[in-house]
Amino acid sequence: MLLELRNVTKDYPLRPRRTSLFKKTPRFKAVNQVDLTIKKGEIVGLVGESGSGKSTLAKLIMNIEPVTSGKILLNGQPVHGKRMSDLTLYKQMQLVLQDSSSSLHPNMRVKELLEEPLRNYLRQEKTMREATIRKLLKLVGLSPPFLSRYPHQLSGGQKQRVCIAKALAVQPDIILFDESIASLDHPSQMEILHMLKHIQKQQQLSYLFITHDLKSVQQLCDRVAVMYQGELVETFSRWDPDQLRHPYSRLLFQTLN
Amino acid sequence: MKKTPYSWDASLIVGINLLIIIVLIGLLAPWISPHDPLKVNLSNRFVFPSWTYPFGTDHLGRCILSRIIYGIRISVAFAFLIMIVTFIISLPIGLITGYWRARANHFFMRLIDGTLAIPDIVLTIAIVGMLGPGFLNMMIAIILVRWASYVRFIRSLVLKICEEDYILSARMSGNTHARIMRRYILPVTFSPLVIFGALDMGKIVLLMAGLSFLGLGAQPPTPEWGAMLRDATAYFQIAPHMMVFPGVAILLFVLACQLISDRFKKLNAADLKEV
Repeated sequence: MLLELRNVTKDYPLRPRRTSLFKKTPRFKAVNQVDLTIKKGEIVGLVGESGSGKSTLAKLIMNIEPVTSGKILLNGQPVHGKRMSDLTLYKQMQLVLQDSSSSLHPNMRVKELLEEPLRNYLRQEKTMREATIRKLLKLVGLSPPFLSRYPHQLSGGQKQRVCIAKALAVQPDIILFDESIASLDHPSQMEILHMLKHIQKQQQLSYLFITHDLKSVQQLCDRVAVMYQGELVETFSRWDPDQLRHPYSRLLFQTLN
Repeated sequence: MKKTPYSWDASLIVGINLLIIIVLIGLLAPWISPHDPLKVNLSNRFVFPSWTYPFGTDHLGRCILSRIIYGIRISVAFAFLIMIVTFIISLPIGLITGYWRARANHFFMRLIDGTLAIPDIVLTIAIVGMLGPGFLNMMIAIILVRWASYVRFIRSLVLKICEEDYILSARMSGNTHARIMRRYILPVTFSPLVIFGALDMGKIVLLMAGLSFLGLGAQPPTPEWGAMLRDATAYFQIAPHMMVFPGVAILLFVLACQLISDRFKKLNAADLKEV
């Protein structure tokens, strides 16, 4: 098992300070008792409406926020444990954020951005790095002239491709996509989905694909998990509306047609 | 870079030109100034502005124009020096306290709040009072007082930048914290810091002049603007030109700094809006 979530719960205090010493502050459960496993080479889609806790779950998995209770294991090692430093975690797991324009440093060229993970994690030499960067760029469907461009000279789709290339450069086991292609237009979404599928087959990667768009999930994912109000209500792998149990997943299915 | 909606306008041009002219005059002081700024000529006391002495002479018969020109060297150069030293002290503190929001941070922040709660001039006077009057002591006092607002400003910048996705993204690329601060945060803070520095230059010059006016900073016969004003107070009624010209010099320099920083502030706001 590559990634394993056991009873993961995250709550936030509703009021920042307690009003009385004896009363407990009311807490809001953003993620409630979520169990989920992802095998090596599997693409899992995580769907749900806005505010259902998808992005919070991604933050918990990436150890950007601490869990309230439960465990997240990556390759059998607890993500939130003291022994897992964030750099060893990021070596195995990468996150592609929703807003590609703000996740690329405005003053750095594409080449510098892609060089960083290669130098930091893989300790590659300069000539080797050049070759790897070119390979990565080809993989995400960009041509070498893009290397000398700044992020603001790229379109939204191109920026997102650079972000994906940056995640791939680390050679992780699993990549999380947090609404990564939601802000793109339909044709570029399709292109990127095809590209991701192709890369996944080639490198035997796992994806956790978080989105509210069931159509893209249907194209890409082997298995779908549905979140509703912080709970994981259903996982399914066959696209058969009759087999769905939870009313919310049925509702989601209706939007598909 | 994208074109900003604000182009060069009158106040920026005036500000920059004024500053360049002032600095140039200061640099070329030995060639420009008509007389020796320290040469005493008691037979020529309180001469009103004339062709030989464009700004007149003071109570010791020294040429006021020459003294003002040499005063640029002192005021501007030392204000610049004070600013640089303050930056050297406060930049690492601001960066680190902004980047790691640990509990130890509160100690620094309360220290800074405490420093900022007391008005600049009062605290500087108190410190100079303890150290004793003199130019070096005045510089130390100004640095001790000004660092807090620098740290606070830098820290607020860093806090804002740390919220950006590219910092997380940089960490995911395996960068060490030191490298993130150096490569990702520092370059972005640069342009706001220049504005802050420009604005503060004016404030420092004003503070230095104020302290020298009170006799705590530059000591006679140093041609410092504030010290010149102090000399003038005793003879104000018989030789008002002694007071007017150094005052105008201070005013012009502070004005230049304000004009530039004001303009840049707006430019930067436009930049932020576009991002």
